[in-house]
Amino acid sequence: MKTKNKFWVFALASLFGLIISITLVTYHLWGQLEPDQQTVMWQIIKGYTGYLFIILILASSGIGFVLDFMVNTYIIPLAKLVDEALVISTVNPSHRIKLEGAKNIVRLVEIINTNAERMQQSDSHEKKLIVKEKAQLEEEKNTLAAVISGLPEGVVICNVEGQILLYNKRARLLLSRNGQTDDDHHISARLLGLGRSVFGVVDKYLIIHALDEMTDAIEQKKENIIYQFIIPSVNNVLLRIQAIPILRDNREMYGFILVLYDITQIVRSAAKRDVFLESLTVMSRSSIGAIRAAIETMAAYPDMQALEQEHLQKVILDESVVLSRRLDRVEKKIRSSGESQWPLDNMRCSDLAEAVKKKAEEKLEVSIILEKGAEDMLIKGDHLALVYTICFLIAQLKETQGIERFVYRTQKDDRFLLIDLIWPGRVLSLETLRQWQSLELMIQGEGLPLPMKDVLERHGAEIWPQSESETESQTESGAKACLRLLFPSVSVATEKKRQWRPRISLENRPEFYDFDLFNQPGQIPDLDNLPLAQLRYTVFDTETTGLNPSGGDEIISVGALRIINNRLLHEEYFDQLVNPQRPLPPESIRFHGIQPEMLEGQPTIENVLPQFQRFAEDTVMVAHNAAFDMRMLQIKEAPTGIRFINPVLDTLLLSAVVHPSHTDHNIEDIAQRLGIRVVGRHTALGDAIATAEIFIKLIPLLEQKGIRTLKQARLSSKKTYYARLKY
Amino acid sequence: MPHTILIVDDEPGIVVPLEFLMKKSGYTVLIARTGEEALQWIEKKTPDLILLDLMLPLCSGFEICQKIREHPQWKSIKIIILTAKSRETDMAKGIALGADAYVTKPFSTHKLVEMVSEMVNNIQK
Repeated sequence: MKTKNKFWVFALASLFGLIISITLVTYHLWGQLEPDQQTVMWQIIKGYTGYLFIILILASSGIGFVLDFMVNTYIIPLAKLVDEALVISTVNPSHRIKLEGAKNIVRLVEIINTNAERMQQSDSHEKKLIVKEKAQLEEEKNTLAAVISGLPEGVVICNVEGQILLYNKRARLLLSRNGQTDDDHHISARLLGLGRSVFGVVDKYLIIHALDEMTDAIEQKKENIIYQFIIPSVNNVLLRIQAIPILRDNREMYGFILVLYDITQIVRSAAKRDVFLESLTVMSRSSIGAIRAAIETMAAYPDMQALEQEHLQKVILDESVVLSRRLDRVEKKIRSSGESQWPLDNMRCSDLAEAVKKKAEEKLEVSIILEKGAEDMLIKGDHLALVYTICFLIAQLKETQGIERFVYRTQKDDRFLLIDLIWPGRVLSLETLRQWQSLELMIQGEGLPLPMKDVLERHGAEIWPQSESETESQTESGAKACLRLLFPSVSVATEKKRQWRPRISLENRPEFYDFDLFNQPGQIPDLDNLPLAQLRYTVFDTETTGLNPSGGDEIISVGALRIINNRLLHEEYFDQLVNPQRPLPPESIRFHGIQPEMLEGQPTIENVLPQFQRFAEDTVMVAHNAAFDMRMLQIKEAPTGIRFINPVLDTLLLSAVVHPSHTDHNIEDIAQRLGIRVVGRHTALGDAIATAEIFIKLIPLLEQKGIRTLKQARLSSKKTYYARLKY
Repeated sequence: MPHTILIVDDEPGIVVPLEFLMKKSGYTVLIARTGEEALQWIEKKTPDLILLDLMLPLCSGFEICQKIREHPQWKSIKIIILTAKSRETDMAKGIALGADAYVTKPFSTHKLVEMVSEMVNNIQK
């Protein structure tokens, strides 16, 4: 009932009550009057009935007007005020009340509006603060992730269940087979992945043991808890792993960090050295023992017979030869193992040259001309120490010989890398150079407090002066001198192995982390009722020899990526060519661009599918026109024994659900509709990426249609027309 | 006139057999135990060949090498470096500074004698 009507019902009821009370009072008063008084009254009433009636009418309409005024200026505005104030305080803080009514009510409205204004202002200020804080947090998170991603050590962060929440590039390199998936001849599914179990890459019992040890240490209130162990990893790499617990304020462990170090080289060279030293001492002792015994015997018995003497001499000769050979061999081996305790790294000669030029020209006011040569070569060394060594030489040459112009040249032969400093003038004496070598590498208060000798020694380098004419035919007038630095050259094998460089770049936000996974509930048995945005997906595509799965067409390529927490993980992909063991129809090459020779030596489907199944474990599989790809996989069920039981979604069908009026649901058209740029189509991985991007955009559109769970998505797909297209 | 060989080494353990071997091969033998002595001998007698150790007191064999090669009149002197320093970089340095051969210890005395005779026989006397 409306406020106004309510009020009038109340007003009429009150009036009715009033009339009844007046009647009762009048009746009672009438009974108490004397009969003659009653007669007089009756006569008066009868005589003035018209007047009395008029008074009654006037009185009741007066009351009516007052009441109406009250209703319109107080009652109704007050009721509206309540409603509108509620709107302000609940759904729409920007709402303002406009009311006419009594002065006090209008005043009240003004007060409420002013307060609302103030509230809104402080609210929006607070919101801005929150947004700012959030952005800051996000930035810090990204910085942290980027830094971790570029660390030279491998880092894997897990929750207590062993679920991987973050890992960096180095960890992937150390824990995944071949590091890269594009290696031609090996299958390399990445089993290191966000949300996956760490047990897939590190032995479960070692982790459990580490967790137990750490828990014990936490209970014993120990500080700086680190548990270390060593595991052999893929590619014959030996890893030292440090497990460090992540503790809450109450010292409860909610996760742990694994830091991975590649100790293969260290262990190998240490072991080699041990063996060398052992064999050297043992063999030397026995040989020298024999020589000594023989000589001592000869000395003790000068008059021994010629034959006996000859015997002993032969012993000495033989043992000396053995000793010489052994020394040669051991030394060669130690050299070839070549690992020094100093951290030497490969760098490009051109980088070194540029650094020397910059530093020398800035600090020493000399001019350096970099001569073209072998600057593409790598040099193994400590960058800073080498820069200072060469600058120090330049500084000394300037100071003692007054030389200000130098040519800097890098050359290479089979065994050595040569760095020459050339200047017009006399050749330096070795004596002077020897003195310089014992000086510390300080240039105008800056440098390394190490003698040059030590730096050269640790690089296995030599230095000497020579005349420039000894190396080049001299045509110009005036003699030229040269200081030559000689380094052992870096072999190509070690070059390749040591290519990896830490890169820290905040622009390249790593995709393979998700701190929100900390709050993941774990494995839920009933995927069907989970919202689409929370599920994990493997989006995949296959390239085939043709379009007829049951007619003998075979898979030649599988590409896949994963989506976790609504994010496409570009770094965790599966990309594998497959040898179809049948000829490739030439007309199909036009579609997939794969040449027959690219498939030679590739693994067969029997080897690829188990890897792919592990990659897709515990996820919903998504493909465009999934029926075709799933058919391809199903046909291989019998020969491989691999069965994909994952739930499946099809972007083609889902697109039809979202845009039923459109008839084109191929990848290009959908992508265009959804504003996605497609790159690298018609490769399995390229198509998988496009499909994944489409799928991510489809999820909110499905939600608008009321399709939120996996079950709803599956059922609505089923209903669409395209679902009837069966291969 | 027999060829003259200068042995520059501070270890008698190697000097004794070397001296013996060279004399037996028919050469005139000079001995120097330091770089100084070596340079004095060179100035006085100008030997045909020098057996030079690298690790000498005061000044290294490399320096003697450099000094000899600085003088054109000593250009024909053959230098064989005999040393326990066996790094490739040391060898490269020795050859770069003008040595004719670089032999690491321990060595075969027989081969050394062969090398010496080959070198001195190539000198036009």
